[in-house]
Amino acid sequence: MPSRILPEHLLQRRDLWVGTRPAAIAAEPTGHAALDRLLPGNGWPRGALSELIVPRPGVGELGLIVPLLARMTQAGRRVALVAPPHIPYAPALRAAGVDLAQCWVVDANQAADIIWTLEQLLRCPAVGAVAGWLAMADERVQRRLQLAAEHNGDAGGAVGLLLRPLAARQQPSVAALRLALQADAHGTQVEILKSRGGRVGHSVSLVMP
Amino acid sequence: MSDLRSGPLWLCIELPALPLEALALPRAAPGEADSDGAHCVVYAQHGARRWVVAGNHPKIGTGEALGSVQARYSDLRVLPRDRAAEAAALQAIGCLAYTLSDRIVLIDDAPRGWFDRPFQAVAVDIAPSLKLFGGLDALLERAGALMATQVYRHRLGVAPTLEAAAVAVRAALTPVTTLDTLEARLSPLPLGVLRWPLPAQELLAGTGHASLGDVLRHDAKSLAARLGREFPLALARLLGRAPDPRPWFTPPARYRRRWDLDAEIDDWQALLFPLRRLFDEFEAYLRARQVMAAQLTVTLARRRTEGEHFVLRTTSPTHDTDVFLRLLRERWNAHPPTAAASELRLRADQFITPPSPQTQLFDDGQQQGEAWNALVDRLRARLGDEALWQPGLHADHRPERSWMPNGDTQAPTTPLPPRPLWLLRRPQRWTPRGPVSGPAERISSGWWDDAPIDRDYYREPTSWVYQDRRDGHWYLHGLWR
Repeated sequence: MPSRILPEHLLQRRDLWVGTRPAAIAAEPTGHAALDRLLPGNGWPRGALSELIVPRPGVGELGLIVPLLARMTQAGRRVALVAPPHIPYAPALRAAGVDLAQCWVVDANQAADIIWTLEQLLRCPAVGAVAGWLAMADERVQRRLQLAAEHNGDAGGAVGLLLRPLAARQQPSVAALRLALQADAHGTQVEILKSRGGRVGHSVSLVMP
Repeated sequence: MSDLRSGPLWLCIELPALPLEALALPRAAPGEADSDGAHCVVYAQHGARRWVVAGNHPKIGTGEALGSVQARYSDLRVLPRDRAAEAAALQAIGCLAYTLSDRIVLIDDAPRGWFDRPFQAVAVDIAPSLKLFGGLDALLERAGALMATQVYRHRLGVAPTLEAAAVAVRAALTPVTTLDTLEARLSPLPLGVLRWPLPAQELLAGTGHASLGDVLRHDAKSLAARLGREFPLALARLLGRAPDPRPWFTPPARYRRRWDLDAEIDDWQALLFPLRRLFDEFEAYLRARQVMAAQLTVTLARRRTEGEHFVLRTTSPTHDTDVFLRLLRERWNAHPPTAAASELRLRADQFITPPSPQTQLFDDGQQQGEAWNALVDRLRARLGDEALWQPGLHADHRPERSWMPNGDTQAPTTPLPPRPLWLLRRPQRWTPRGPVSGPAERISSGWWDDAPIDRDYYREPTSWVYQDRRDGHWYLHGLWR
């Protein structure tokens, strides 16, 4: 075991990364315990982008992020959904524990508007989480958004979620976390495609109400 | 000089080139002062006579006949006076002068006859503010700095009466601060500085009166007999022996500003420059009235047309017009104006008196709130007012009406069967792949208005579907996750 071999004073160093131990990552719990266990920091990374590959609307993407929205809004932080494909249904959000007074939706059609809106929201210190449905996002755009997400790093930073179509799965991504979603019989199959500071390749099946 | 003054002390800010500066002209840069194309003069007209009242050519003086000037300089631009623009500019400077004192008089004297200049000035009673600014020198410095931010040339004069302050400007006197010395300081001045009507001035000059002192030697009765009753009164007011009532200038209750552009401009970036000047004026107006605005309408138009309106709204009222300018830039970035403009208009009708600020030492919440309000303004400016909304509740059993954009976010939850997280904007036709099972939720409602429904809802694994009981068709209405 490396922790026995290394002298104690080396282990104290923050710039030394020991392979078997996940790096400390600021994160917000996803609300799904099975998924949290697989993620570094046990949740959505804060001040970073996470990418969710969604083959079609309704495979469980909203069910996956609703616990985050509920947690954030109940803590008094604002959350925003940008360019969602359907109407986020207020009675269901309310039943899932989301404080609607802190929940905002932005309608935008043009990719440029969506990207600009996401950037503005991610930079705002008053916003806790942003989810954006974005079909086209090349690496340049992703870096822009990643920078915006890091903008408020001191204050903890916002959780940035990008919901991307299946075609995006093959594209390179700068996101700190990439998940691929698929509907299965009882809920949603989540596969970890990329996880900065964590391990990839695992899948977990989440049961959703 | 003691700080406690009994009478007023007037600061007169004369704007000698206002007829020119009130117009939207590109200012001649110092380097290109020799090229004639950059020069223009503004003329006044009476009957068939036209004469120069302001200009930026070094060899053309005011009062020259326009014909002779045009004969000498063929490519000079000549423009008539625009009285409305001059009045608006004078008001704007009046608002600006509110930072010095709240006792302000606008002076807008027409030319007294052919080939005379108008006299346009803002007079401020600075006596109440002397102590605040730390004496006359500091206040004059402040006034100079204030005017330096503007495009207007100015001359300053200080005297204990309003009329004497105007005379002090015209005669370039150093400040006269006490009434006792006023007569002695004014006596040697030539008669012309009084700006009395020309017939009276000529009569006095023709009878051997060279200076003001010569006129002051006469008693009031003989002066009134020869010139008219108003002249001894004018002298008494000049020397502070009679009250000189004038209407105080107060900023108008509603803000209107029109700005004629030199030419039609279709590039909105180029419009930002004159707009900045107008926005600065608006800010001076807001500060003068000590109010804040939450809405400002900018109109781009061709001459005397209705034009295109841009309504700028801020979530929290502000007196910082940079906010409005940023919103406008954001808006035009996304949707540029459709037509070229030759006229800009600013309009604001509603103002809010700011509440007294209650700040806390550590108030992250308020800072975040301000950041959020500014963000909402930016988003709405670019995407439109409707683009940003909050999902809210609405008391109605029909699924498409039990929510509402910006509806109630606090309403108590009603015990309903589970609802899907996604609702389709419009139900889609759906074909069952097998028998649809499970308990149905019958929603039959709305018979009292235009959208009655009568449906049986079923819960499928991923979707929320219903059968319309009136036609038997199946529809997809929601997605569960």
